[in-house]
Amino acid sequence: MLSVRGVTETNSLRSLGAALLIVLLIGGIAFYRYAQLPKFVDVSAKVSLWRRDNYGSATLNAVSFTLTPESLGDRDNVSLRWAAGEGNLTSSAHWKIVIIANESASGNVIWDHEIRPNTDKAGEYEGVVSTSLYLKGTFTIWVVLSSIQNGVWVAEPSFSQRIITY
Amino acid sequence: MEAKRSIGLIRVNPSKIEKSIVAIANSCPASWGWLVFGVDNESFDLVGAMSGLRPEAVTTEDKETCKQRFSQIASKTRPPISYEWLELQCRDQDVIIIRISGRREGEFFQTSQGAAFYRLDDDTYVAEQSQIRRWLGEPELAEQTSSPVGTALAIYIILCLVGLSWAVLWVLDPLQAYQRTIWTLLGLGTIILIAAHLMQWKVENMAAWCKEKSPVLLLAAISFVPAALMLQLSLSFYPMLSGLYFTTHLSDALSTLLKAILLIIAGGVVLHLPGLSLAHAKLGILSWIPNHSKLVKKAAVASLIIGLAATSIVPLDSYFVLGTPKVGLVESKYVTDDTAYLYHIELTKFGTYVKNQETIHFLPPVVLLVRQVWYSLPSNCSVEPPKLILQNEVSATLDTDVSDGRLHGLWISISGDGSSNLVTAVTYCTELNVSSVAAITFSAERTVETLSNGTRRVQQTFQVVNLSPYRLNIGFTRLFYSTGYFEEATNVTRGRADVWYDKDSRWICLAGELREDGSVTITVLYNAVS
Repeated sequence: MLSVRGVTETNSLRSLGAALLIVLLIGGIAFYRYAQLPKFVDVSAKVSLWRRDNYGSATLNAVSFTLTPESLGDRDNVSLRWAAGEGNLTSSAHWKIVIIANESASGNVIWDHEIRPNTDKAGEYEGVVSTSLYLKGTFTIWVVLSSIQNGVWVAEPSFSQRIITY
Repeated sequence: MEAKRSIGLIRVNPSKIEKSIVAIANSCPASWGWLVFGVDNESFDLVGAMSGLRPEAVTTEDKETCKQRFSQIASKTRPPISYEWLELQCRDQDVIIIRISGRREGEFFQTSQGAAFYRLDDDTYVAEQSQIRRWLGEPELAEQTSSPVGTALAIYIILCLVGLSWAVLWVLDPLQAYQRTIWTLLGLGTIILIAAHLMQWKVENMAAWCKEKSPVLLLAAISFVPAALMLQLSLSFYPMLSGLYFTTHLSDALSTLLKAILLIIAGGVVLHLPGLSLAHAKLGILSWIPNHSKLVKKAAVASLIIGLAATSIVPLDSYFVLGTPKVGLVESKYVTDDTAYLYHIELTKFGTYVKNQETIHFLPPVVLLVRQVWYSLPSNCSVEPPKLILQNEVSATLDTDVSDGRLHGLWISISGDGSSNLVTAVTYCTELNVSSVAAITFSAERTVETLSNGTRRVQQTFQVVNLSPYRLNIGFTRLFYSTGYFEEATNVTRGRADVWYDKDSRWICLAGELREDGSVTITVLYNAVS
């Protein structure tokens, strides 16, 4: 009887070990696959900006969405396209971009960023401002661009779109 | 050896004990068989004899009662079974061992009901005529064995091979299943014949082996039934989980499996027919499940595991995007050009629509098993045909209504290896309720003056007010029918309107565009025949 019990216990241990190995293997593969799946919505806004003295204006040219597995962070590559007044005019005006999703979205529903070029020249600026947001569900997203004019934020025509993520 | 925990079985279930001792006695020719109480029948661990179902030590009185009852059971078998009743103490546990004399050559045991059982491995079977003849040492009847058994075996093998290979090949490719089944049958049949010849297998032995294994095969096939059912149910959740529809032949897995099982059952019946009397058949059918209880339990466990696996295929595939593409992100842009369109249907009947755009981003699967999928995009408008404006790494086709061209959805074929950035975009129109977009007034014609030549001067007014937050595009509209001279006054606020007379059709026509809150009022004075 003892030998039978011993064999039974060894077999049970082997089965348990094999089951554990299979669970670990499947779990590992599942985790690896999960890490590869896109979870972030990368929003890129192409903007045209203009400023002179303490006055600015802005235009939202296009907004695009892509899915990414991980956050690509905030990117701002707005640069001077042409300087006003042969490059000797300066301006303190700047711009702000706000991305808002309505409350039916789960995740980070608001993001804002101030666009401050690394030069104080007046003139026209152009570029793309992007960010990766963790957003899930069915929701409406707004991209609002505003410029500071005489110390007051003024919103420019904004963009909105309905989004569904699975 | 047969192990049981409770000695109470002798009192509670004497027919089971009778069946067990007959089976043990028939299976140990010229030797001893053992029936042990106090040992777990699964693990063979020493647990001590119990009197009932609860783990209570058995009393001396219980032992005596059971011993007497066992004696009665053993004396009822035909012929009565000889045995020895031994009571032991092992590691402070009661163990009762019954040593049963096996059958002698040329004889066999039957229960009081006349059934001759025997054991093979852990299972108990009813002995058939051929088996009893072998026990009795009688020559097997040629007409009952070789020819019918050989034919039955051949039919069984053919039916099983056809059923199983067809089911497996159907899962892989239903279009090729019939053709490939014939070749598989020929191949496997040849292999079996060559193996039988080389290994010198006898027909009787092969038939006996097949009979022994036929319940295993049948239960193995049956254990897939809940899995097929759950798979069918699971597949219906695909659109909800992945946003895409696709058709798969696996939806019919249940009917295919049932056909295969029917073939296996038919084969099994044919296999058991030779030498089977009506009484044996009846007994065999009634005792089929009790005789195969362990096998049925194993099949139930296997069925549960396979069923769970089949149920989890769709959620796992949808969640981890394993073999089927999935919709990752949908961008829906309503009123893409900020314009609502007003169009004239007939007389005073108008319609309105707006243009929308839907951009669909797909997630590519790990292994592209499903290449063509359908995305639901129903439109209630057929005024403007839908248009594909973007296709990246996918080939999309519009699925429109044959009669009126309305959009139902998109057929998407993943081209290439479907590695990344699978996107398609489509523009389509959506019909809106006219009253939510514009207020349209057609005043009834009013006679201003009756002329001497039999005609009269008629005045009519048409007004459109834009109620929508968008621009309102007024399409070509036939306002009033006039045979000749007319005077027209147009009053437009926040927009523009073109009014003209079409000489060919003799209609006063309108086209224009109004901004938000804009309106147009057209008053026409024209000659009409009385």
